[in-house]
Amino acid sequence: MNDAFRGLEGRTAPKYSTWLMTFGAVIGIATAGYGLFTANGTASHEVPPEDAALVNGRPILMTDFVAQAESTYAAPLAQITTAQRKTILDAMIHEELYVQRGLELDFPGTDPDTRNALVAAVEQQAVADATTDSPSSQVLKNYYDAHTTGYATEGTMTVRDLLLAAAPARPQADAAASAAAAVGALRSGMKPEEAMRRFAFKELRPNQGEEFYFAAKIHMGERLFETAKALADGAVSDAISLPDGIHVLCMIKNVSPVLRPFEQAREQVLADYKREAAARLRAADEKYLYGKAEIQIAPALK
Amino acid sequence: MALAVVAVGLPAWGAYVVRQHVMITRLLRTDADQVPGNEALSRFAQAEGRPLYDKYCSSCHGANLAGDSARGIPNLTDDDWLYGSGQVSEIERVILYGIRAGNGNGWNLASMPAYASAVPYGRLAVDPLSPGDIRDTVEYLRTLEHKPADAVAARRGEEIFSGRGACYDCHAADGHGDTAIGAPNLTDDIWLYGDGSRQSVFESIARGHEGSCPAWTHRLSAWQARSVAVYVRGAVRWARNTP
Repeated sequence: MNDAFRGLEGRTAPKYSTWLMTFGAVIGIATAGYGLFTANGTASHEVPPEDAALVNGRPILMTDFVAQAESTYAAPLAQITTAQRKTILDAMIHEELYVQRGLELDFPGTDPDTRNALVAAVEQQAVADATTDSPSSQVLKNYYDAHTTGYATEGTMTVRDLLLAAAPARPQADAAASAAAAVGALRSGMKPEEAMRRFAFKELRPNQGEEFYFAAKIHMGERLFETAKALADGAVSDAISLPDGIHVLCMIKNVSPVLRPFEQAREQVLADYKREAAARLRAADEKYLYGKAEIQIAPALK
Repeated sequence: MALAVVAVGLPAWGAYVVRQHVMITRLLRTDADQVPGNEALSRFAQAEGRPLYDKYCSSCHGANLAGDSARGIPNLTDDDWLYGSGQVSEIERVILYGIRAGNGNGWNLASMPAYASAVPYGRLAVDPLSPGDIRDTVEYLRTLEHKPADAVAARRGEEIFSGRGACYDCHAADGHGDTAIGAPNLTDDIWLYGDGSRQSVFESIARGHEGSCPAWTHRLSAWQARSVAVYVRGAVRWARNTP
């Protein structure tokens, strides 16, 4: 060591290093503190090309921004002004900030609306594979073959519902005899109008015209519909006693449901197939969640 | 020899990766609707979009993008758009979020009621129609397309269309449809389902429709979805310029 520095060693060097260490520590603490208390510490310096903005590192997708802007102003993005774009982006940033704040405030843990939305979103996510699935024709055909009853056309009927209304003054035996006579006359070719006049019947739903089976069932009730369904074109039913009186059905035209060919029913088959697959996925997801969860129940509720 | 391959291959591979990165960034930075007007970007996106279309979309829309009216799969080459007007950004949105695919960002607003059922539409109170009502409505729709129709039945059908059938609510009072909710134009003789015959239109009204398109947002990245959208948009132009 040079004689000129002898005696200085051990004094100057530690002093500088202490200053440097202190300076470094202050910078470090300041940076960490800034990052910690402003949530900007890990901010990216560049917005990725697929994003419109980053809010505390969370992306706002450009696609969502464009969709929002175009639907708000009903114009393509090219025709939307800078000020309008800014309005939309500000609104989306505002939303993102509030969503993040909502998470900090534990809204998913406390707010019913947020919880409902989360449940719906998770359920949708669980069945995403089913909704994006494109089953082959053979798979759908197999499903169709196994569930043919669901793919029939809706039957139609045109039927006249004649009623001999219940009357306390009229003995039941007389009413039954009158109805039987009316049935005989109708089956012999008497016109319904003539039969109504002669046997004191009235028509419950005149000029109803042709209706689908489901509608006929609603209008006539289960019992009369089941009878009507079995009648051929031009047939007359037996007299049917119900609380409101005695009914006689004259079938004008009855078109029974027929199985639709697979190609015609394909859309419905696909919808049913996906619905069933989604239900299976939902059940599996629920089973998985229950399986890995630790659920403790209060003794009083066990 | 190996060294020579590495010496040539590595820079070439590096150049390819850099070019891909640059093009992808440019593709995403450019307004989606402006991409078709940019020759280089459009060519790049179409080249990237085609294999993705083949992989994810062609099983329904067909390799030639022509769809299948027997299954209600839209033709993507006819420039007749159910949703929007065929802008790349609109196609991209359908690709990402789908139609009735259970994604909140997708198109889920309405579907065609099944009028031959006790409850034609679950979301809104709509009365069922009788077979005669449906036949009358079919006649009215034929008049919108200037096809031969029973005039008396068509007048009754018009009342149903604009009244208790509530058809006007989606298809608009003039039957031109509404691309904001995917309600088809009923005046242009382009049929999403069937061939436009009386029987096929009757079936559509009677049984309803609820077609869907998957949401690919979890399978395709942003640039891939845009590439497919540009490819589909390009197919319209290609089809238009092909005799």
